[in-house]
Amino acid sequence: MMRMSAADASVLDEIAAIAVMPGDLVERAKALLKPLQRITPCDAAFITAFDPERRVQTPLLRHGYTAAVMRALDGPQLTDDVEQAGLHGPSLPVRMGDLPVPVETLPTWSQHLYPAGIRQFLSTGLFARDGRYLGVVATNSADPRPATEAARLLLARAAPWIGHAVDPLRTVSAIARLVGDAVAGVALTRAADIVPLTGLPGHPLLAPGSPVVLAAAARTAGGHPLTTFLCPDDGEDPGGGLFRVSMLACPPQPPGHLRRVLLLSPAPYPHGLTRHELQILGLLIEGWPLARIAVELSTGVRVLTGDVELILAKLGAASRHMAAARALRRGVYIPAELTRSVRREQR
Amino acid sequence: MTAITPPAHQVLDEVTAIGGHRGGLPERAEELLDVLHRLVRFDAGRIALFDAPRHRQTDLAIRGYPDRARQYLAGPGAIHDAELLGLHRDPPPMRIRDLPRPAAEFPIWAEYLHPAGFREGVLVPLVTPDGRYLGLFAAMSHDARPVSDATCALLGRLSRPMAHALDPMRAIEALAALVTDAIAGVVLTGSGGTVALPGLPGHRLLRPGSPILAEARTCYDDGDTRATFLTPTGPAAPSGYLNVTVLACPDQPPHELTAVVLLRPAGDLRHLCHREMTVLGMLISGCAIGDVGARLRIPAHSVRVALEQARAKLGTSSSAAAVMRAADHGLYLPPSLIRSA
Repeated sequence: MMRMSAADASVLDEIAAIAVMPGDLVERAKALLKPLQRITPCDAAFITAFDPERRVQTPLLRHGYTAAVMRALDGPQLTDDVEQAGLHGPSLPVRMGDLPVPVETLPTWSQHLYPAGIRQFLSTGLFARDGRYLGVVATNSADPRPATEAARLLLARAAPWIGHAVDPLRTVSAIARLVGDAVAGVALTRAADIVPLTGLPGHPLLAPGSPVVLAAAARTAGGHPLTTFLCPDDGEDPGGGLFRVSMLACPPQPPGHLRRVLLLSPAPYPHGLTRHELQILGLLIEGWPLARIAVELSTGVRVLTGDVELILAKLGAASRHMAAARALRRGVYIPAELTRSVRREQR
Repeated sequence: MTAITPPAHQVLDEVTAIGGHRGGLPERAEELLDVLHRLVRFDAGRIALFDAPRHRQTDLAIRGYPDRARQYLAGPGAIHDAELLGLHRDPPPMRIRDLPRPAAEFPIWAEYLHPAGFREGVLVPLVTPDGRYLGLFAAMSHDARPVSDATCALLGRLSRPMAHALDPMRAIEALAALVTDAIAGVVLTGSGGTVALPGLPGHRLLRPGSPILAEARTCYDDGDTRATFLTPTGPAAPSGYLNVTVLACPDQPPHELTAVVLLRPAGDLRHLCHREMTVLGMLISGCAIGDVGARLRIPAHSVRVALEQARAKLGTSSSAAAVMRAADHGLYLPPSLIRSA
């Protein structure tokens, strides 16, 4: 690669310094405006974070646009036009003349940017180091002269840092560090899909649509910052080990699809409770009467009543309500969803 | 004491990176000592935290100190020395020759380190970016030559990033930040006190000795990872309510920060009335339904009516499910927070 000029190196240093700042990704995106203006002269600029579930480019930074243009940038058209422009895959930054399609065919350009007096742009897609598509950065100018080749190469070098600055998984991975003994984890999206975390492996129990993920998704309604429950680590062997599942809420941040962090930690059997007793607690937490629990667990009400008495003693609880409330707060129960999924498989 | 001075940004990068590692505080302190040892060729080095509740220093990492010196450092004398040096006032790094009083006046130096052949050293206070004094880094050498002014200046620049990497409050703040609508909060400590939560104000309901803190401590002592319940905001019965959320802190030895207690707006109370929330709280706390009336001095019939109304308002199919929903969503008043009328 060409040797960079001292001015270019200082722009890149500035961008890298912003990228490694702790805190909020919107703040970092906003701080990037100045170095962007140093890459190429421009009258307006934006950075977006792509929400893959709603397929919208959520704004992180917007500077210099009219209200009408901003409304246009909010819509789904931008997502289509960004794809048409080839900015959803790795490529060199593009100016108007570098587009793979005629610029007039992009409605965001022909209906909004051009009528607002914008005549040129320099834009590139943003990607994380592991290849995840993160969003777009663009600068616009009223001056029809295209950005120089040097500016284009400088933006290409800066793009990985800009991507790092706006990577939403950074916040999410920091939250995952709160559970120090976690051995596996994923991020859970708005649509109950999963996204791998940086720094922690995934796990078959945390596959999309798995009983653990469904049980976790069913527990997001209370708006709790932290929810924990137990999960057998094999599903079959009643003497097998347990995992503690911890679900932590992600702070609201663009693009907004990453909602929870799900983590697995090895856990001992708590308070001397057996797997069967932890399943009973899971059903008591649902508010089920004993007769229904007995049917679900294929046991008799009389036997179950004895089991419940033992559970109360082990938890030091004076009543079933109290035992279930304690189990809920301590996360010492196997959720009904996990008990039922095993039963269904056995049928 | 010799030193090599690498580019400052390189050392800063390394120290900052250690702050992002998954390990516990002692592991991070060991990693910091590795970095510092490349910077200052010490023969004995330690990173110690000031344990305010117990009034002593706790070593996170210590290398090369004679056993007798270590015993002294674990005792009250080390705290006294640190106070004489004014480390809590965030001074720049001090070499033995820069000390505000002659080194011979400090027992650690005169009785333990100098007799063991140490001739120079440097002390760096660790102060967080928001100004909290956490502890110190100390390095001692047999070589009598002091570290250079440039190295002292670099160590001074490392004070905050090092403290940031070792700050137990970071995890607590991250935990508290999970609750996005908190209006106030404190951290409970193992010894029974509270410490302020950076970034959130305290509250009159969260003063030491308050019923809410007692209830939160009971939850923590019971082993709850999280608990959520309502509290009246004033003494009168038709008062407002706030939600109390208690989250157990991650273990960070040697610190004993046990739980974060946060106050948030009560949110949607589902039109539950004071009596219904009180009855739900009694049942969740283990009171038999037959005893609730006696404890509240209301007829048993009224208790059943309150429970049925709560069930309808919470939209569940049974009263047992209603009690569990209230427990899960924190829609109840714990008996300890009800003022006896």
